[in-house]
Amino acid sequence: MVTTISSTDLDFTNIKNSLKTSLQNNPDFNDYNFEGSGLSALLDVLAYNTHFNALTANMALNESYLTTAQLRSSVVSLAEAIGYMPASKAASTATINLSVNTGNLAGRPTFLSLPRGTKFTTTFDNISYTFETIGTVTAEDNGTGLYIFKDDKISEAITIKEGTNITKTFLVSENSVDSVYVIPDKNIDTTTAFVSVYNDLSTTTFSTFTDLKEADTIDDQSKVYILRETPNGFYELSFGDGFTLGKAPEAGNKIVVEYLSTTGPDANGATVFTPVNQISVPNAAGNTSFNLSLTTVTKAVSGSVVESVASIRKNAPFSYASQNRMVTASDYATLVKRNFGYLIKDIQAYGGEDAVRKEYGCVFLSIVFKDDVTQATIDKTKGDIIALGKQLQVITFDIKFEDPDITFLETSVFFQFNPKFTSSSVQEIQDRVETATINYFSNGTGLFDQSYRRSNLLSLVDDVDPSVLSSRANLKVQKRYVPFLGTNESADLRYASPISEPNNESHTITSTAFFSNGKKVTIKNKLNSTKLQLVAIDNDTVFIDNIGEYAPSTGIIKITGLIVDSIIGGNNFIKISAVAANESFSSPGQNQIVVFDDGPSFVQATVVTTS
Amino acid sequence: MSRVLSIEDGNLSSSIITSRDKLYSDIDLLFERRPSGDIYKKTDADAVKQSVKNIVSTNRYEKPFEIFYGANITGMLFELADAGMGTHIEDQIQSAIEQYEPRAKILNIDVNSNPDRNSLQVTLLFRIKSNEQEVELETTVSRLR
Repeated sequence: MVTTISSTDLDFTNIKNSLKTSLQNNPDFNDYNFEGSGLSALLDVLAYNTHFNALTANMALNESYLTTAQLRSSVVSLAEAIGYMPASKAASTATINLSVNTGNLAGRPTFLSLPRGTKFTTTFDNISYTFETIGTVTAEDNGTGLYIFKDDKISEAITIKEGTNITKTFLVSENSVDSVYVIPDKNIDTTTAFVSVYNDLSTTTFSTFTDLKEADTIDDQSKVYILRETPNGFYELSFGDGFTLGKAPEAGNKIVVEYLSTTGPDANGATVFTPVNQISVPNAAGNTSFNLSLTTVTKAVSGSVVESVASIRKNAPFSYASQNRMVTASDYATLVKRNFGYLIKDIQAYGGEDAVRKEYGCVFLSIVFKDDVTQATIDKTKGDIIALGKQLQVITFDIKFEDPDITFLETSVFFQFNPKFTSSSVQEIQDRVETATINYFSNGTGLFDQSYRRSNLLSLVDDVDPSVLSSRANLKVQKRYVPFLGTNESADLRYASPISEPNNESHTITSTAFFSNGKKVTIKNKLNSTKLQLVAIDNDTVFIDNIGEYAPSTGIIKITGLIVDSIIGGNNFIKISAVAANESFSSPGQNQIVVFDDGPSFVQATVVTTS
Repeated sequence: MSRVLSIEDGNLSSSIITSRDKLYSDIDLLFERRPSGDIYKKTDADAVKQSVKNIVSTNRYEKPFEIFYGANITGMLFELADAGMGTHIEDQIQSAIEQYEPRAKILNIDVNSNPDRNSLQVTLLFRIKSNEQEVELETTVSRLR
C-alpha cells in the first residue's frame, strides 16, 4: 500500500471555518454564520477556490515522487527519469523444431531459409492465435533432401512468439530536430522491435539500431534507439543526438520499425502449431512447394501484460542503484530479474566467497523459475544470462548457476474437534484444515527467505472453525536423493534445518523403499546412533550395517557406498526424511528453499466433547 | 436613542446619543458601488430577507459540499403543473427555511401557479425572530424564453 501525502487539512469545511474565524474580528459583517447570507456565498467561493488549489497542489506533489504517484503516466515518467524502462506486454513464446523433406529433388539448393515473420497458427481455449518467427531461420541440405532449420545461434529449437507483425515507416524530414516517432499501439512487445534505418526511400541496404538497454558504451558511432512508453500508454521511438549520444537518422533517411503486436498472456499454454504456408523450394524444374514438418519442443509460456505500477515502483529504484552494471551481487539479481522477469519467480545472487564451498572469482545465481517454464527454456535462459553478464559486467566474474537447494517439509497436523460447536462433519472440518495447511505453504514458502513457522500455521488451523479447539503439528524435513542405478555412490545431503539427535525409541532418519543388492530396503539410523543402516523391509533386520551417518547440528546426511538397483513407486528419487531438531520452524539458508510435500503429510482430528 | 449616564459615572446633565448595534449585516449581492468606493450592505431585516431569497432561489446540488441546501424551486422545471405541485413547493420552502435560516419564522407561504405564462409566483410571509418584524417576500420564477 502506497502512503500518499496527507490532505486532511484541505477539507472544505475546515477552510470555510477558518475564514469565518477571521471574519469574527470584522464588525462590518456578521452574517457569516447563516448559510443563506450573501457573505456565506462569498465564503463558499473562497473556500472552494482554496480547497481546489490546495488539492491540486497536493495531488501534484504526490505525483512528483515515485513512491507516492498514483497515475501510471506519472510512475512511468518518474521511472524513466532514473533510467528504468517499464516492461511492455510480452508475447507468449514457444519453441519448435522445423524441417522440410524435399526428397531427391533435382537442382535443389544447399540452403533454405524462412524469413522473420513466418506464421504458425494455434487454437487455445477455442481462440485462434498466430505465432511468428522472430528472426530468419536457415537449414542446410543433409544430402538426402532433408532440411532441418536452425536459428542464428545454430539451435534447432526455434523460438516463435504470439502476435501480429506490424511495420511502421517514418521519413526523416529536412527540418526534423530531435524528432520522436510515435507508435500508437499499446500491445507492442518492445523486445521484438527491430529498427532499421535506410539511407533513402529506394535503397535496400540498411543499418540496424539496437535497444539502448543492450548498449554498454555510447559514443558518436553507437546505433541505439530508445523505445519508451508515453503518458497515454502508446510508445515512441527516439534516437541519439547524432554527436556524443549515438547516431541519429539524417534528413532523407527512412526508418522502419517492425514489432509484434501481442495479446500478452492469453496464448500461454498453446501446444499445437500449424504452419500457415508451404515453403517454396527452387529446383531444376522451377519452384516446388513442400509442407513444413513441425514438432513442438516447449509449449507457449511467459506471455504477460504490461508491467504493473506496483512492479515499476518496486523495481525502478533497484535498477537505478545497479546503474545497468553488474558490480555487487544484488546488481546481478536485479538486472537478471529486469531482463528475464517474465520467466523468473525469485532469484538469489551471492559471491563465490560467500558460498558454502568457497569459490573465488565467480558469482552464483540461484533462480526459481515459474512453474510453466520448461527445462529447454531454462537452459536457453541461462545462456542468455551469461551473454547479458558479458555486456554489463564491470569486472569479469564467471556466472555460475546453482539450482535452488530444495528441502521438502512433511507436516503432521493434529487437532481437537468438538462437534457441538458446528453443524459440519469431522471429515468436512478435516478437509478445511487440510486446505488451510496447503494454502499456508503455497503462500508462505517456495521462495528464498521464506520460512516455515509452526505457530503461523496453527493460527490458521485454529481459525478454520470454532469447533477446532486446539492444534499441534510435527515437522519432518526431507531431501530427495537421485541415484545412478546400479552404481556404488556417495553423496552429501544438506537439510534446511538441523536434525534431531538420535534416541533409543524411534528412528530419526527414514526413507522410502528401494532395492539394493536385490533386497527391498529402506534407510534408517541405528537407534541411539547417528550411523545410517540399510534395513530389509520384509523382516525388519539390518541388511547393511553402515552406509553413512548424519550430523544433527549441521543437518547434513552423508551417504557412503550405497548401491541402488531400482526405486519403488515409479520415482527417480528416494525420499530421505528426518525429524527436525526444532519442529517449530524451518528457515532456509543460502540458496535453499523449503517446499511442502503433501504426499506424506496428513491432518488428523481427535473428537472430544469438552470445550 | 439617547442614553444618560448616572452621577456616579460622572455625567449628570449631558446625555449621550448612541446608535443601536446592527443585529445583522451582510453584503448586498447586487454589488452596487457606493460613492465612497465600497459596496452597499444589507442590514437587519433586509439581510434576513436577502438570505431567505437566496435559499428560495437556490437549487439542490448547487452549493458545493452542501448538496441539500436550497428550496429546489427551479429544479421543479418540467414537472407537471398539477394540483399537488403548490403544496409540494410550499413544503420544500418551509423545510429549507427551517433548516438554513434560523432567524426567520415562516408565517405563510402562497404559491400561485400560472401555467399559461409558464411562471410561478411565490409569496412568503415570515417574521424576523429577533425583533418580531414581519416581512413579505415575493418572488417569481418563470422561464426565460
